[in-house]
Amino acid sequence: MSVFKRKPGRTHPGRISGAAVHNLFSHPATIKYIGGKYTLDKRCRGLIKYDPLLCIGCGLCMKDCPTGAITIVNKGTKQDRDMHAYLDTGKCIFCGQCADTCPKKDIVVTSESDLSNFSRDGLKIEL
Amino acid sequence: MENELMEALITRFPELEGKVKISAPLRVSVDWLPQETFLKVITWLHDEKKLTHGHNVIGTDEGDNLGFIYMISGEDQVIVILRTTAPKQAPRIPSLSGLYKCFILFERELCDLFGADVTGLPPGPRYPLPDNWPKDQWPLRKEWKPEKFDRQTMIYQGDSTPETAGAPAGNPASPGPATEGAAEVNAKTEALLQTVELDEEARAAAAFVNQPLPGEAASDNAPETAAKHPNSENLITVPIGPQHPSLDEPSTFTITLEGEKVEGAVIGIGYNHRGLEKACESRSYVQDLYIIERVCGICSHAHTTAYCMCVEQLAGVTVPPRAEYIRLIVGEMERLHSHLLWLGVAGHEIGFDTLFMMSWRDRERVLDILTVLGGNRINYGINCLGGVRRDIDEGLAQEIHKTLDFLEAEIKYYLKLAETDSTLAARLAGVGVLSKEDCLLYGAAGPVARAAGISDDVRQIEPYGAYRDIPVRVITDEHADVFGRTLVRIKEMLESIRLIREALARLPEGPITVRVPRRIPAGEAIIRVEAPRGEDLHYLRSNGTDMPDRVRVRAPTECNWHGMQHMLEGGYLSDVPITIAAIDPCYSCTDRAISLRGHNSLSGQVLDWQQLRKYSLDWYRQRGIDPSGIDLADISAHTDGKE
Repeated sequence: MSVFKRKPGRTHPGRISGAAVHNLFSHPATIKYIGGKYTLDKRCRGLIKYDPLLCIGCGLCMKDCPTGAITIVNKGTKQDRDMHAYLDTGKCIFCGQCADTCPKKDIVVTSESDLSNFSRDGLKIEL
Repeated sequence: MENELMEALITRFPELEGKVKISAPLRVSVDWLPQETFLKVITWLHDEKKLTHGHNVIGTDEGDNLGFIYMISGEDQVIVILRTTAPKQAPRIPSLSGLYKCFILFERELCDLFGADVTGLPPGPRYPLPDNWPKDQWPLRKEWKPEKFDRQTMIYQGDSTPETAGAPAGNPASPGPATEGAAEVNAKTEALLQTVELDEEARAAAAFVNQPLPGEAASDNAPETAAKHPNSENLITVPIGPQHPSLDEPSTFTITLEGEKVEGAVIGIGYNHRGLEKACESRSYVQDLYIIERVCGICSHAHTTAYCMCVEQLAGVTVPPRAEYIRLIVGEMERLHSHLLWLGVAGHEIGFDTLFMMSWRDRERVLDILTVLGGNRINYGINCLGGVRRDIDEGLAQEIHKTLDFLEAEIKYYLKLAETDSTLAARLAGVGVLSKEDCLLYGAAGPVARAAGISDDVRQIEPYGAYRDIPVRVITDEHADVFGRTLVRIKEMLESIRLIREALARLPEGPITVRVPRRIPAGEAIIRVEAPRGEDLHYLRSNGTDMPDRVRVRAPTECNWHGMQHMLEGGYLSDVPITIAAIDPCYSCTDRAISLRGHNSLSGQVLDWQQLRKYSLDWYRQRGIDPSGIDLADISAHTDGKE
């Protein structure tokens, strides 16, 4: 016996018209290609954010990064620090391990996901 | 149970006194044994103690020797770990595939990755390295450095040490310039093999010694099958793969047909070998977590859970209860996601695409929850060493409850569909049968074994984490075919929903993570975890530094492959796709490398991008098709600019 066999009393014309009305007034599920901005849920992992003022230059994030995507450079002196962070988004797997490792919590994971670029070098960014 | 077994071992073999210990609950570990004693012990355990289930064979590098670690278990589920060694100069060990059918793949791996000379291994396709990989390169030996190997030319640039130059790997007929010491050891092993009693099958397998070992193309075996068959002129050999529209991942199936009936099948896998285990050895424990997560896209949580449990056991860290509950919730969510995906694939394979659309729609709901739980759709990354990284708050718990209510109604509908729909029953019943006895013989795991009536679920045998508090009702079925596997998977989803609800209701308060030291004390851990596809067994050995010494991932699919040939033979060609799909094969899990396997006419060659373009253009020109409008120079210039 098939479950698809229609039985008396199993049809719901009301449900169909309800769905039709719902679809008529609901927002479209797709976004406009040019101009439309797709936002991920806040809890998704995307690009990391870096605060150079908090960084103490311990280099733990570089050590723990599974792909070697993040590089921290001190361009100043020992007393007068000038910290810079470089990220190769072509290598980054967005695991957020650097944010977990950081003892000062100056690396924060955001849900930013607009990262595409026309060249490989363009993927290397300064945070 | 462990004590009884240990005492029985010592009573029978007094020389083992002091060498046997209980390393962990349900684990009896035996120290390194000489091959002679080892063979006696394993044969006795198999024949007298009925430890007939083979779990894994692990190769290790012990300096001048190669180590081989065997894991076997019986009815009482105690895993006995036996070890033996062979010198690197002549790493000769007898094949145990006569005793344990499921050791064939593992032993092929020893040949390819460690250069072990496994005597008596039945001939078959090479696994897991590509066919054009040089036969004297064994990547998992410690002296082998990946940076010295040129992938384009397949030439190893290192100094030619005696080990890499002379050991008779995989080719006993011509041992090469072996040293005198090696010849002596060979003679010793030869004498040893004569002293050991092997059963008939093993002896039959030993007859293949003089045949060339792995490295034989899969298709070479097909004519053999054809020649043996009484009406061989009616047999047709159909090669499927490595690339084929109906295969989701690369693998070869050489199927010999008589009419529509499958008479023989040769399976070639290993195309996805990524060398993850070698990569793990040169990275820290924290970095390895992300490599292990990428072993498989679907059971990523099961793999990291097993890996984390290994590290935590070695470091002597206790995970907070809240973290264990969260691991359970994510693990069961993953099972829902995996089984729904499987149900869709199974529907697609039998031409029931409505089911595919429906179950994949529901799977999206599970993935949405996993995204907000972990932060990613597939590699959730919720596990960390010593706990979990993200907490579940009240709002998220509500979201999960809402999704579970929706899924429960849907899955109950699928169950009704599977139980009552005549098309499904007619298409799936009696297809790909693997009886209870065969399951035990080939070491099948997970839903395949449970569909044959074996209550094989690690969550019940050896409860870990929060499963200690929330017992699992194991779902079994007596059908032993694809229909049974479908029912088992659908019922398991309902069980998963119950487990998640219970875990959310009993979620304890407290921290979610504890600190784990960077340097892990020396030792080894063997952990098994129930992945959606079956038993996932991880082996981790540390040497006191911040990098592991050896990591071995035995994914559930790896032990389900062994019975595949048996399942295919005697069936029909149209049932081949669903039979393969029914074990829910994960090729990446099994193979753990990206390599190009040469086409017959190009065997042994690796083509770069331009050569490949040129080859394809020539191919069309030869067939009278003018690929005009495509200027080769233009393409080259374009690709050069890109690279």
